[in-house]
Amino acid sequence: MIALLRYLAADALRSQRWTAPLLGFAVAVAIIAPSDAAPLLPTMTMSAAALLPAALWLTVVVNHSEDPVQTHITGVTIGSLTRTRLAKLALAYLGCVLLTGLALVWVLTSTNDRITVGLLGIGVLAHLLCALAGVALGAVISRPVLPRIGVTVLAGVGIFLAELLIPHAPPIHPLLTSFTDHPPVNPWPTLGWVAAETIPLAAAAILAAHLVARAKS
Amino acid sequence: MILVEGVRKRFSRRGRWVLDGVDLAVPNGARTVVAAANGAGKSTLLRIVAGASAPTAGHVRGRPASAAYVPERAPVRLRMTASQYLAHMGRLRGLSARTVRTRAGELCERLDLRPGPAVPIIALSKGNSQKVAVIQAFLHPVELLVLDEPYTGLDADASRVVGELLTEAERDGAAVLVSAHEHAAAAFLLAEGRLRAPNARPDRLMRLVLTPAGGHASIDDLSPLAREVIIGPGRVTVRTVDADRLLGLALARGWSLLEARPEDPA
Repeated sequence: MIALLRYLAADALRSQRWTAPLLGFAVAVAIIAPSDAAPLLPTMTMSAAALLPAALWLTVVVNHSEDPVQTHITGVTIGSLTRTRLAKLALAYLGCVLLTGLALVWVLTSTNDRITVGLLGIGVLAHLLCALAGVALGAVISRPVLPRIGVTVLAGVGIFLAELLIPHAPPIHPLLTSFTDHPPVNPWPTLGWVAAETIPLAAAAILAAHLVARAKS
Repeated sequence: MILVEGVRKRFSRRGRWVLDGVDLAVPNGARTVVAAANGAGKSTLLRIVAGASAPTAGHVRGRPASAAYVPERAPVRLRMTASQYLAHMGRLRGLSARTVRTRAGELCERLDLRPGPAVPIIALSKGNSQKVAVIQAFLHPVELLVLDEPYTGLDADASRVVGELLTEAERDGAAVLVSAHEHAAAAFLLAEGRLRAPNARPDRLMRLVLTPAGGHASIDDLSPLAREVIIGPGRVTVRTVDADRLLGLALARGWSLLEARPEDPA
Protein backbone atom coordinates (compact mmCIF):
# COMPACT_ATOMS: atom_id res chain seq x y z
CA MET A 1 0.00 0.00 0.00
CA ILE A 2 2.91 2.37 0.82
CA ALA A 3 4.48 1.74 -2.59
CA LEU A 4 1.13 2.34 -4.27
CA LEU A 5 0.50 5.60 -2.39
CA ARG A 6 4.03 6.71 -3.12
CA TYR A 7 3.63 6.06 -6.85
CA LEU A 8 0.20 7.75 -7.02
CA ALA A 9 1.52 10.74 -5.06
CA ALA A 10 4.53 11.06 -7.38
CA ASP A 11 2.20 11.02 -10.39
CA ALA A 12 -0.32 13.48 -8.90
CA LEU A 13 2.35 15.87 -7.60
CA ARG A 14 3.93 16.05 -11.06
CA SER A 15 0.61 17.12 -12.55
CA GLN A 16 0.80 20.33 -10.43
CA ARG A 17 -2.99 20.53 -10.55
CA TRP A 18 -3.11 20.34 -6.75
CA THR A 19 -1.87 23.92 -6.57
CA ALA A 20 -5.34 25.31 -7.36
CA PRO A 21 -7.27 23.65 -4.46
CA LEU A 22 -4.35 24.37 -2.12
CA LEU A 23 -4.37 28.05 -3.05
CA GLY A 24 -8.18 28.26 -2.90
CA PHE A 25 -8.23 26.75 0.58
CA ALA A 26 -5.37 28.97 1.77
CA VAL A 27 -7.23 32.07 0.58
CA ALA A 28 -10.40 30.89 2.37
CA VAL A 29 -8.49 30.31 5.62
CA ALA A 30 -6.77 33.68 5.25
CA ILE A 31 -10.17 35.35 5.02
CA ILE A 32 -11.56 33.37 7.96
CA ALA A 33 -8.62 33.48 10.33
CA PRO A 34 -7.04 36.85 11.01
CA SER A 35 -9.35 38.72 13.41
CA ASP A 36 -7.71 38.49 16.87
CA ALA A 37 -10.89 38.75 18.88
CA ALA A 38 -12.87 36.15 16.95
CA PRO A 39 -13.87 33.11 19.05
CA LEU A 40 -12.13 29.90 18.10
CA LEU A 41 -15.02 27.50 17.47
CA PRO A 42 -16.82 29.49 14.70
CA THR A 43 -13.49 30.18 12.98
CA MET A 44 -12.50 26.51 12.98
CA THR A 45 -15.97 25.48 11.80
CA MET A 46 -15.79 27.83 8.83
CA SER A 47 -12.32 26.56 7.99
CA ALA A 48 -13.66 22.97 8.14
CA ALA A 49 -16.50 23.96 5.81
CA ALA A 50 -13.98 25.47 3.41
CA LEU A 51 -12.07 22.18 3.44
CA LEU A 52 -15.00 20.30 1.81
CA PRO A 53 -14.69 21.92 -1.63
CA ALA A 54 -10.91 21.65 -1.38
CA ALA A 55 -11.29 17.91 -0.65
CA LEU A 56 -13.68 17.53 -3.61
CA TRP A 57 -11.19 19.26 -5.86
CA LEU A 58 -8.20 17.35 -4.55
CA THR A 59 -10.01 14.03 -5.14
CA VAL A 60 -10.80 15.06 -8.70
CA VAL A 61 -7.13 16.01 -9.19
CA VAL A 62 -5.91 12.62 -7.92
CA ASN A 63 -8.51 10.60 -9.84
CA HIS A 64 -7.81 12.45 -13.10
CA SER A 65 -4.05 12.42 -12.75
CA GLU A 66 -3.17 8.87 -13.78
CA ASP A 67 -3.35 8.00 -17.47
CA PRO A 68 -6.47 5.77 -17.87
CA VAL A 69 -4.43 3.15 -19.73
CA GLN A 70 -1.86 3.18 -16.94
CA THR A 71 -4.71 2.63 -14.45
CA HIS A 72 -5.20 -0.81 -16.04
CA ILE A 73 -1.49 -1.61 -15.72
CA THR A 74 -1.42 -0.46 -12.09
CA GLY A 75 -4.51 -2.53 -11.29
CA VAL A 76 -3.04 -5.69 -12.80
CA THR A 77 0.35 -5.10 -11.15
CA ILE A 78 -1.26 -4.62 -7.73
CA GLY A 79 -3.74 -7.42 -8.43
CA SER A 80 -6.79 -5.34 -7.55
CA LEU A 81 -8.55 -2.44 -9.22
CA THR A 82 -10.51 -1.80 -6.03
CA ARG A 83 -7.37 -1.32 -3.98
CA THR A 84 -5.98 1.11 -6.56
CA ARG A 85 -9.19 3.15 -6.47
CA LEU A 86 -9.25 3.18 -2.68
CA ALA A 87 -5.58 4.17 -2.59
CA LYS A 88 -6.39 7.23 -4.71
CA LEU A 89 -9.09 8.26 -2.25
CA ALA A 90 -6.70 7.62 0.64
CA LEU A 91 -4.11 9.83 -1.05
CA ALA A 92 -6.65 12.66 -1.47
CA TYR A 93 -7.60 12.23 2.18
CA LEU A 94 -3.95 12.42 3.24
CA GLY A 95 -3.72 15.69 1.32
CA CYS A 96 -6.75 16.93 3.28
CA VAL A 97 -5.05 15.96 6.56
CA LEU A 98 -2.11 18.15 5.54
CA LEU A 99 -4.50 21.00 4.72
CA THR A 100 -6.17 20.51 8.13
CA GLY A 101 -2.81 20.88 9.86
CA LEU A 102 -2.05 24.01 7.86
CA ALA A 103 -5.46 25.55 8.61
CA LEU A 104 -5.36 24.79 12.34
CA VAL A 105 -1.85 26.16 12.80
CA TRP A 106 -2.94 29.30 10.98
CA VAL A 107 -6.14 29.71 12.99
CA LEU A 108 -4.52 28.92 16.36
CA THR A 109 -1.64 31.33 15.86
CA SER A 110 -3.96 34.19 14.88
CA THR A 111 -6.52 33.93 17.70
CA ASN A 112 -6.54 35.42 21.17
CA ASP A 113 -9.32 33.07 22.30
CA ARG A 114 -8.43 30.52 24.97
CA ILE A 115 -7.30 27.25 23.32
CA THR A 116 -8.42 24.10 25.08
CA VAL A 117 -7.73 20.48 24.14
CA GLY A 118 -11.47 19.84 23.83
CA LEU A 119 -11.97 22.74 21.48
CA LEU A 120 -8.98 21.69 19.41
CA GLY A 121 -10.39 18.13 19.23
CA ILE A 122 -13.69 19.49 17.95
CA GLY A 123 -11.84 21.51 15.32
CA VAL A 124 -9.77 18.54 14.12
CA LEU A 125 -12.81 16.24 13.94
CA ALA A 126 -14.90 18.83 12.10
CA HIS A 127 -12.12 19.16 9.52
CA LEU A 128 -11.70 15.39 9.16
CA LEU A 129 -15.46 14.90 8.69
CA CYS A 130 -15.68 17.61 6.04
CA ALA A 131 -12.63 16.08 4.32
CA LEU A 132 -14.26 12.63 4.38
CA ALA A 133 -17.46 13.98 2.84
CA GLY A 134 -15.47 15.89 0.23
CA VAL A 135 -13.36 12.87 -0.76
CA ALA A 136 -16.38 10.52 -0.90
CA LEU A 137 -18.45 12.94 -3.00
CA GLY A 138 -15.36 13.64 -5.11
CA ALA A 139 -15.20 9.91 -5.91
CA VAL A 140 -18.76 10.12 -7.28
CA ILE A 141 -18.12 13.09 -9.57
CA SER A 142 -14.71 12.17 -11.01
CA ARG A 143 -13.07 9.45 -13.09
CA PRO A 144 -13.96 6.71 -13.75
CA VAL A 145 -17.57 7.52 -12.76
CA LEU A 146 -17.74 10.89 -14.56
CA PRO A 147 -14.90 11.08 -17.08
CA ARG A 148 -15.76 14.53 -18.43
CA ILE A 149 -14.21 17.36 -16.44
CA GLY A 150 -16.85 19.96 -17.41
CA VAL A 151 -19.62 17.85 -15.85
CA THR A 152 -17.36 17.26 -12.84
CA VAL A 153 -16.90 21.00 -12.26
CA LEU A 154 -20.66 21.66 -12.45
CA ALA A 155 -21.40 18.75 -10.11
CA GLY A 156 -18.74 19.90 -7.66
CA VAL A 157 -20.08 23.45 -7.48
CA GLY A 158 -23.61 22.02 -7.15
CA ILE A 159 -22.58 19.78 -4.27
CA PHE A 160 -20.89 22.62 -2.39
CA LEU A 161 -23.92 24.92 -2.81
CA ALA A 162 -26.25 22.11 -1.70
CA GLU A 163 -24.08 21.51 1.37
CA LEU A 164 -24.23 25.21 2.23
CA LEU A 165 -27.90 25.84 1.52
CA ILE A 166 -29.95 22.67 2.11
CA PRO A 167 -31.02 22.51 5.77
CA HIS A 168 -29.37 19.64 7.70
CA ALA A 169 -27.21 18.54 4.74
CA PRO A 170 -24.34 16.84 6.58
CA PRO A 171 -21.70 17.83 7.41
CA ILE A 172 -21.43 21.53 6.53
CA HIS A 173 -24.91 22.90 7.08
CA PRO A 174 -25.53 21.59 10.62
CA LEU A 175 -21.98 22.49 11.69
CA LEU A 176 -22.23 26.05 10.41
CA THR A 177 -25.72 26.68 11.78
CA SER A 178 -25.00 25.36 15.26
CA PHE A 179 -21.38 26.43 15.77
CA THR A 180 -21.13 29.92 14.26
CA ASP A 181 -23.79 32.30 15.60
CA HIS A 182 -24.57 30.98 19.08
CA PRO A 183 -22.05 28.19 19.80
CA PRO A 184 -23.40 25.69 22.32
CA VAL A 185 -21.61 25.25 25.64
CA ASN A 186 -21.08 21.58 24.82
CA PRO A 187 -20.57 21.09 21.07
CA TRP A 188 -19.88 17.34 21.31
CA PRO A 189 -23.50 16.06 20.89
CA THR A 190 -23.95 18.08 17.69
CA LEU A 191 -20.61 16.86 16.36
CA GLY A 192 -21.56 13.29 17.26
CA TRP A 193 -24.78 13.58 15.27
CA VAL A 194 -23.00 15.07 12.28
CA ALA A 195 -20.43 12.26 12.39
CA ALA A 196 -23.17 9.64 12.66
CA GLU A 197 -24.74 11.05 9.50
CA THR A 198 -21.61 11.86 7.52
CA ILE A 199 -19.67 8.61 7.93
CA PRO A 200 -22.40 6.24 6.60
CA LEU A 201 -23.24 8.68 3.79
CA ALA A 202 -19.58 8.89 2.79
CA ALA A 203 -19.29 5.10 2.88
CA ALA A 204 -22.42 4.80 0.70
CA ALA A 205 -21.03 7.35 -1.79
CA ILE A 206 -17.71 5.49 -2.04
CA LEU A 207 -19.52 2.17 -2.51
CA ALA A 208 -21.77 3.65 -5.22
CA ALA A 209 -18.73 5.09 -7.01
CA HIS A 210 -17.03 1.72 -6.75
CA LEU A 211 -19.99 -0.14 -8.28
CA VAL A 212 -20.26 2.28 -11.20
CA ALA A 213 -16.49 2.16 -11.73
CA ARG A 214 -16.62 -1.66 -11.75
CA ALA A 215 -19.39 -1.74 -14.35
CA LYS A 216 -17.51 0.77 -16.51
CA SER A 217 -14.09 -0.86 -16.15
CA MET B 1 -4.35 -22.75 -15.89
CA ILE B 2 -6.71 -19.78 -16.02
CA LEU B 3 -10.28 -20.63 -16.96
CA VAL B 4 -12.61 -18.10 -18.54
CA GLU B 5 -16.15 -19.33 -18.08
CA GLY B 6 -19.18 -17.86 -19.81
CA VAL B 7 -17.81 -14.34 -19.69
CA ARG B 8 -20.11 -11.61 -20.98
CA LYS B 9 -19.36 -7.92 -21.01
CA ARG B 10 -21.21 -4.76 -21.87
CA PHE B 11 -20.33 -1.28 -20.79
CA SER B 12 -23.82 0.09 -20.19
CA ARG B 13 -27.22 -1.28 -19.37
CA ARG B 14 -28.97 -2.30 -22.57
CA GLY B 15 -25.70 -1.72 -24.42
CA ARG B 16 -24.29 -4.09 -27.01
CA TRP B 17 -22.72 -7.27 -25.65
CA VAL B 18 -19.04 -6.84 -26.52
CA LEU B 19 -18.39 -10.35 -25.26
CA ASP B 20 -21.27 -12.76 -25.36
CA GLY B 21 -20.40 -15.96 -23.58
CA VAL B 22 -16.68 -16.55 -23.95
CA ASP B 23 -15.05 -19.75 -22.67
CA LEU B 24 -11.29 -20.08 -22.79
CA ALA B 25 -8.58 -22.05 -21.06
CA VAL B 26 -5.20 -20.33 -20.78
CA PRO B 27 -2.70 -23.04 -19.79
CA ASN B 28 0.56 -22.49 -17.93
CA GLY B 29 3.81 -22.71 -19.82
CA ALA B 30 2.21 -22.02 -23.18
CA ARG B 31 1.11 -19.16 -25.38
CA THR B 32 -2.55 -18.68 -26.18
CA VAL B 33 -3.31 -16.37 -29.09
CA VAL B 34 -6.62 -14.62 -29.68
CA ALA B 35 -7.16 -13.10 -33.12
CA ALA B 36 -10.00 -10.86 -34.20
CA ALA B 37 -10.88 -7.95 -36.43
CA ASN B 38 -10.55 -4.42 -35.05
CA GLY B 39 -13.21 -3.62 -32.50
CA ALA B 40 -14.30 -7.23 -31.97
CA GLY B 41 -13.55 -7.12 -28.24
CA LYS B 42 -10.04 -8.57 -27.99
CA SER B 43 -8.79 -5.84 -25.71
CA THR B 44 -11.85 -6.19 -23.49
CA LEU B 45 -11.33 -9.95 -23.21
CA LEU B 46 -7.64 -9.52 -22.43
CA ARG B 47 -8.34 -6.90 -19.78
CA ILE B 48 -10.86 -9.21 -18.14
CA VAL B 49 -8.41 -12.12 -18.09
CA ALA B 50 -5.66 -9.84 -16.72
CA GLY B 51 -7.99 -8.52 -14.02
CA ALA B 52 -8.10 -4.92 -15.26
CA SER B 53 -11.80 -5.14 -15.98
CA ALA B 54 -14.71 -6.92 -14.34
CA PRO B 55 -17.00 -9.12 -16.46
CA THR B 56 -20.71 -8.28 -16.46
CA ALA B 57 -21.47 -12.00 -16.14
CA GLY B 58 -19.38 -15.17 -15.94
CA HIS B 59 -16.11 -15.84 -14.15
CA VAL B 60 -12.38 -15.98 -14.56
CA ARG B 61 -11.07 -18.77 -12.36
CA GLY B 62 -7.55 -19.57 -11.27
CA ARG B 63 -6.03 -16.17 -11.94
CA PRO B 64 -2.63 -16.34 -10.20
CA ALA B 65 -1.40 -13.87 -7.61
CA SER B 66 1.12 -12.23 -9.92
CA ALA B 67 0.15 -10.93 -13.33
CA ALA B 68 1.46 -8.40 -15.82
CA TYR B 69 -0.37 -6.55 -18.57
CA VAL B 70 0.79 -4.67 -21.64
CA PRO B 71 -2.01 -2.56 -23.15
CA GLU B 72 -2.56 -2.20 -26.87
CA ARG B 73 -1.57 1.46 -26.75
CA ALA B 74 1.12 2.26 -24.22
CA PRO B 75 0.23 4.93 -21.66
CA VAL B 76 1.89 8.10 -22.90
CA ARG B 77 0.52 10.74 -20.55
CA LEU B 78 3.09 9.87 -17.90
CA ARG B 79 5.08 12.79 -16.60
CA MET B 80 7.85 10.66 -15.11
CA THR B 81 10.99 9.53 -16.84
CA ALA B 82 11.08 5.91 -17.94
CA SER B 83 13.48 4.94 -15.15
CA GLN B 84 11.37 6.65 -12.46
CA TYR B 85 8.28 4.96 -13.84
CA LEU B 86 9.92 1.54 -13.92
CA ALA B 87 11.21 2.05 -10.36
CA HIS B 88 7.64 2.69 -9.21
CA MET B 89 6.26 -0.30 -11.11
CA GLY B 90 8.97 -2.49 -9.60
CA ARG B 91 8.22 -1.21 -6.11
CA LEU B 92 4.55 -2.07 -6.64
CA ARG B 93 5.75 -5.66 -7.15
CA GLY B 94 7.78 -5.47 -3.97
CA LEU B 95 11.16 -5.39 -5.73
CA SER B 96 14.12 -3.56 -4.27
CA ALA B 97 15.36 -0.43 -6.02
CA ARG B 98 18.60 -2.16 -6.95
CA THR B 99 16.88 -5.21 -8.47
CA VAL B 100 14.66 -2.97 -10.58
CA ARG B 101 17.58 -0.83 -11.72
CA THR B 102 19.57 -3.86 -12.83
CA ARG B 103 16.68 -5.60 -14.56
CA ALA B 104 15.30 -2.41 -16.16
CA GLY B 105 18.75 -1.46 -17.43
CA GLU B 106 19.19 -4.89 -18.94
CA LEU B 107 15.77 -4.77 -20.66
CA CYS B 108 16.27 -1.20 -21.90
CA GLU B 109 19.47 -2.36 -23.51
CA ARG B 110 17.95 -5.51 -25.02
CA LEU B 111 15.00 -3.59 -26.45
CA ASP B 112 17.22 -0.66 -27.43
CA LEU B 113 15.17 2.06 -25.72
CA ARG B 114 16.02 5.40 -27.37
CA PRO B 115 17.13 7.97 -26.35
CA GLY B 116 17.26 6.22 -22.98
CA PRO B 117 15.53 5.60 -19.65
CA ALA B 118 16.28 9.09 -18.29
CA VAL B 119 13.82 10.74 -20.69
CA PRO B 120 10.21 11.61 -19.69
CA ILE B 121 7.83 9.03 -21.18
CA ILE B 122 5.68 11.77 -22.67
CA ALA B 123 8.69 12.75 -24.84
CA LEU B 124 9.32 9.23 -26.19
CA SER B 125 8.25 8.09 -29.66
CA LYS B 126 5.33 5.66 -30.02
CA GLY B 127 7.56 2.63 -30.41
CA ASN B 128 9.78 3.58 -27.48
CA SER B 129 6.87 4.23 -25.12
CA GLN B 130 5.58 0.78 -26.17
CA LYS B 131 8.97 -0.64 -25.16
CA VAL B 132 8.60 0.91 -21.69
CA ALA B 133 5.18 -0.71 -21.37
CA VAL B 134 6.75 -4.06 -22.32
CA ILE B 135 9.65 -3.60 -19.89
CA GLN B 136 7.34 -3.00 -16.88
CA ALA B 137 5.69 -6.36 -17.61
CA PHE B 138 9.01 -8.23 -17.57
CA LEU B 139 10.62 -6.62 -14.50
CA HIS B 140 9.91 -9.71 -12.47
CA PRO B 141 8.76 -13.23 -13.41
CA VAL B 142 4.95 -13.46 -13.17
CA GLU B 143 2.56 -16.36 -13.48
CA LEU B 144 0.24 -14.67 -15.97
CA LEU B 145 1.31 -12.41 -18.83
CA VAL B 146 -1.31 -10.65 -20.93
CA LEU B 147 -0.08 -8.69 -23.94
CA ASP B 148 -2.46 -6.83 -26.22
CA GLU B 149 -0.97 -6.77 -29.73
CA PRO B 150 2.56 -6.43 -28.36
CA TYR B 151 4.26 -6.19 -31.74
CA THR B 152 2.39 -3.23 -33.22
CA GLY B 153 4.56 -0.15 -33.26
CA LEU B 154 7.75 -2.07 -32.58
CA ASP B 155 10.56 -2.43 -35.09
CA ALA B 156 11.78 -5.86 -36.21
CA ASP B 157 14.57 -6.10 -33.63
CA ALA B 158 12.36 -5.13 -30.71
CA SER B 159 9.63 -7.53 -31.92
CA ARG B 160 12.16 -10.34 -31.96
CA VAL B 161 13.23 -9.49 -28.39
CA VAL B 162 9.60 -9.47 -27.21
CA GLY B 163 9.18 -12.89 -28.80
CA GLU B 164 12.27 -14.12 -26.91
CA LEU B 165 11.01 -12.66 -23.63
CA LEU B 166 7.68 -14.43 -24.12
CA THR B 167 9.41 -17.73 -24.85
CA GLU B 168 11.54 -17.32 -21.71
CA ALA B 169 8.42 -16.61 -19.66
CA GLU B 170 6.69 -19.69 -21.09
CA ARG B 171 9.72 -21.79 -20.21
CA ASP B 172 9.44 -20.47 -16.64
CA GLY B 173 5.87 -21.77 -16.57
CA ALA B 174 3.94 -18.55 -17.11
CA ALA B 175 0.53 -18.60 -18.74
CA VAL B 176 0.78 -16.23 -21.72
CA LEU B 177 -2.20 -14.66 -23.46
CA VAL B 178 -1.51 -12.57 -26.56
CA SER B 179 -3.80 -10.91 -29.06
CA ALA B 180 -3.15 -10.40 -32.73
CA HIS B 181 -5.19 -8.68 -35.41
CA GLU B 182 -3.82 -10.79 -38.20
CA HIS B 183 -5.14 -14.27 -38.46
CA ALA B 184 -2.42 -16.30 -36.79
CA ALA B 185 -2.35 -20.04 -37.41
CA ALA B 186 -3.05 -21.40 -33.94
CA ALA B 187 -5.24 -18.53 -32.81
CA PHE B 188 -8.63 -18.50 -31.20
CA LEU B 189 -10.93 -16.38 -33.32
CA LEU B 190 -13.14 -13.79 -31.63
CA ALA B 191 -16.16 -12.65 -33.62
CA GLU B 192 -19.56 -11.30 -32.63
CA GLY B 193 -18.71 -11.63 -28.96
CA ARG B 194 -17.92 -15.32 -29.17
CA LEU B 195 -14.69 -17.26 -29.31
CA ARG B 196 -13.99 -20.09 -31.70
CA ALA B 197 -11.20 -22.59 -30.96
CA PRO B 198 -8.52 -22.89 -33.66
CA ASN B 199 -9.74 -25.27 -36.38
CA ALA B 200 -12.26 -26.66 -33.94
CA ARG B 201 -14.81 -28.82 -35.61
CA PRO B 202 -17.25 -30.26 -33.12
CA ASP B 203 -17.44 -33.55 -35.05
CA ARG B 204 -13.67 -33.91 -35.07
CA LEU B 205 -13.18 -35.80 -31.83
CA MET B 206 -9.66 -37.24 -31.44
CA ARG B 207 -8.39 -39.99 -29.25
CA LEU B 208 -4.80 -39.53 -28.10
CA VAL B 209 -2.73 -42.02 -26.18
CA LEU B 210 0.24 -40.44 -24.41
CA THR B 211 3.10 -41.56 -22.18
CA PRO B 212 3.66 -39.15 -19.31
CA ALA B 213 7.20 -37.98 -18.59
CA GLY B 214 8.83 -40.16 -15.95
CA GLY B 215 5.71 -42.27 -15.83
CA HIS B 216 4.11 -39.60 -13.66
CA ALA B 217 0.72 -38.46 -14.88
CA SER B 218 -0.07 -34.92 -13.78
CA ILE B 219 -2.95 -34.05 -16.03
CA ASP B 220 -4.42 -31.21 -13.97
CA ASP B 221 -3.92 -28.48 -16.51
CA LEU B 222 -4.55 -30.66 -19.55
CA SER B 223 -7.87 -32.00 -18.37
CA PRO B 224 -9.91 -28.83 -19.15
CA LEU B 225 -9.01 -29.35 -22.80
CA ALA B 226 -10.14 -32.95 -22.76
CA ARG B 227 -13.59 -34.45 -22.86
CA GLU B 228 -12.48 -37.61 -21.13
CA VAL B 229 -9.27 -38.71 -19.48
CA ILE B 230 -8.40 -42.31 -18.72
CA ILE B 231 -5.22 -42.81 -16.71
CA GLY B 232 -3.73 -46.25 -17.14
CA PRO B 233 -0.39 -47.72 -16.09
CA GLY B 234 2.28 -45.74 -17.97
CA ARG B 235 -0.21 -44.21 -20.34
CA VAL B 236 -2.94 -41.60 -20.49
CA THR B 237 -5.78 -41.79 -22.97
CA VAL B 238 -7.69 -38.59 -23.73
CA ARG B 239 -10.60 -37.79 -25.98
CA THR B 240 -10.59 -34.18 -27.12
CA VAL B 241 -11.81 -31.80 -29.80
CA ASP B 242 -8.75 -29.63 -29.23
CA ALA B 243 -6.07 -32.19 -30.07
CA ASP B 244 -3.51 -29.71 -31.43
CA ARG B 245 -3.32 -27.67 -28.28
CA LEU B 246 -3.49 -30.59 -25.91
CA LEU B 247 -0.76 -32.40 -27.78
CA GLY B 248 1.38 -29.25 -27.93
CA LEU B 249 1.13 -28.87 -24.17
CA ALA B 250 1.83 -32.54 -23.49
CA LEU B 251 4.88 -32.62 -25.76
CA ALA B 252 6.20 -29.41 -24.23
CA ARG B 253 6.04 -31.20 -20.90
CA GLY B 254 8.23 -34.01 -22.15
CA TRP B 255 5.43 -36.50 -22.75
CA SER B 256 5.37 -38.59 -25.88
CA LEU B 257 2.65 -39.60 -28.25
CA LEU B 258 1.86 -43.28 -28.65
CA GLU B 259 -1.23 -43.11 -30.77
CA ALA B 260 -3.61 -40.60 -32.32
CA ARG B 261 -6.76 -41.31 -34.24
CA PRO B 262 -10.06 -39.66 -35.02
CA GLU B 263 -13.04 -40.96 -33.13
CA ASP B 264 -16.47 -41.36 -34.56
CA PRO B 265 -18.95 -39.19 -32.72
CA ALA B 266 -20.87 -42.20 -31.51
